[in-house]
Amino acid sequence: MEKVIEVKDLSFGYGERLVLENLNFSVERGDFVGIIGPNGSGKSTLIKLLLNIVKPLRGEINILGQSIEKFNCWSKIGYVSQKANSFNTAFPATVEEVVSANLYSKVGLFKRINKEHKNLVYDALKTVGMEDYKDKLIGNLSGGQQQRVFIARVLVSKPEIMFLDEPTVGIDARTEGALYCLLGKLNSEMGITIVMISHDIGAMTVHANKIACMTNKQIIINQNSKEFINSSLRDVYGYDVNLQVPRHFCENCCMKEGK
Amino acid sequence: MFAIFGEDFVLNLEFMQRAYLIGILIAVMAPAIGVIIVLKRLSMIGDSLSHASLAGVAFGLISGLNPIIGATVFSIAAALGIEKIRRAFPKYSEISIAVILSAGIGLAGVFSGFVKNGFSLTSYLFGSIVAISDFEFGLIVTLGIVVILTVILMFKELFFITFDEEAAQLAGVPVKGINFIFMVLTAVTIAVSSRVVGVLVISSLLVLPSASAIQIAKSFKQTVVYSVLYGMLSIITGLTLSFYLNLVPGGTIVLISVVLLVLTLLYKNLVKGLLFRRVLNQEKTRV
Ligand SMILES: Nc1ncnc2c1ncn2[C@@H]1O[C@H](COP(=O)(O)OP(=O)(O)OP(=O)(O)O)[C@@H](O)[C@H]1O
Ligand SMILES: [Mg+2]
Repeated sequence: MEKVIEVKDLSFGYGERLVLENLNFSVERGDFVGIIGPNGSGKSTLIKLLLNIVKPLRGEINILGQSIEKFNCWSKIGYVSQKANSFNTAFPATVEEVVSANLYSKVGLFKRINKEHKNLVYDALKTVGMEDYKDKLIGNLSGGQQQRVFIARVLVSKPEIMFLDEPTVGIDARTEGALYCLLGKLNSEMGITIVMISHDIGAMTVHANKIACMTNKQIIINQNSKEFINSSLRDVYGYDVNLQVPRHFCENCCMKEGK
Repeated sequence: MFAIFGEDFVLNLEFMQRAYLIGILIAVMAPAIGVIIVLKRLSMIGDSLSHASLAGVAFGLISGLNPIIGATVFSIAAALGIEKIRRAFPKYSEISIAVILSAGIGLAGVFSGFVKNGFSLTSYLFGSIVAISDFEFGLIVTLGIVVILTVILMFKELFFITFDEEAAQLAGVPVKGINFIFMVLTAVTIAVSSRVVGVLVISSLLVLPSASAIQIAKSFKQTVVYSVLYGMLSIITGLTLSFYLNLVPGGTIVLISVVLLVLTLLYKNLVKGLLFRRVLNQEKTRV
């Protein structure tokens, strides 16, 4: 299998204190990796390293077979950030305007959006089921709808890898279920590699095919999310985690059944 | 032109033609820049740069340099200063604005002590429409057109950065470069406007039309278009009134902007109230 992300001996710290120490792991094309771990264990930091928002202290990162310093195809990488749902909700922009923004680098500086670009935006909104809302102000949507718009904004540039940092914060269980199903569909039908941070371990074991646990500056990747059980959670979190795999998640979903 | 109205009709006077033309340019520049400033939550930046402009005007009056050139230089220097200081306090952008505001007021105060003709400095506080020289007219029009064209060219990138700077950066938008150019454009807009509208007034002209537009716009594009229309209405009415009633133009223009904002808020509440009542009635008939 092709390795789309490869990390070798990666260390990183803010100032003196190391947050990540000697990480070695890889992600293969078509993976759905769920990253879990306690607050402050460096999950968001790891994603920022993979996006080249912060630079490593030591070590090597390869994205799509290229060293991250030389990598220049960022339109193939999508990112839905932890604070995507805490933006200025009074911002006067329509859903269509927000999603179009990610096409700007394709459109080119000083040029305008044309019909073809609008069609791409429509398709992306349709994938997340928000095409009827394209002329609505983004601030007037519910949290779950906004989150789907932000996913559409990433989809519009046809990414090969998508990073999501806790996209389900502040979203009700049913919408959350629909969101996981949507991500599952993007992963299985469109072949997009997904790397996602979530504290919802139960849902992760259902939808992700690999679980990455971050703790003590380290990452442990469980190659099979189904084998991932309570006892290993104690090692990660340091206390007993009551793991519940929610069954109601997929009642409207064409995808995997919670088992 | 407009022969039927007689010689002293407002549009037949050369100085008023100039004032209107400059007014229209400012009515496009200030609100378009203002929308982005308001949405970036940097409303105070206008005050800061306008006080630096005033220091520049005073410096010009003392040294014999044209006051508008003085204002432009000081304003751009202040804008770059704000960006520099902001990097030292990344989470508190207000601090850098306050520091530059203080420096601007201080300099303007000290310089004003050396200005011989007190009247000429006050005319830059609230603006004036009389006797704009050929040189100043050409300078303002050129700078105005440059600012407007640049904003049009960078429009979509400015929107992306304003909405989500991090995502813009990841999508390959040259965020640093565009932010830099935008600060310079803001500085130039404020300096250029100081002559006709006045430095105490220009920052209101950045904020008020945008505030009104945000109330009723249904997209970002509409927000910009509406705020330019609000700006036009305020400036053209303001200049006309100040000519006929012999009022200070800057003050008149700002008061009109405030009235327009209040009217917009009233209108919005009225519409909301009517809609609410209609919904209630429908509920009743359904029951
Ligand atoms: N900008 C920063 N400057 C200094 N330290 C930071 C910064 N951002 C994060 N840290 C520290 O790095 C560590 C890892 O932070 P990170 O945000 O990656 O955690 P996380 O696993 O995403 O946590 P959460 O589950 O709360 O989102 C934390 O101890 C945090 O205090
Ligand atoms: Mg985090």
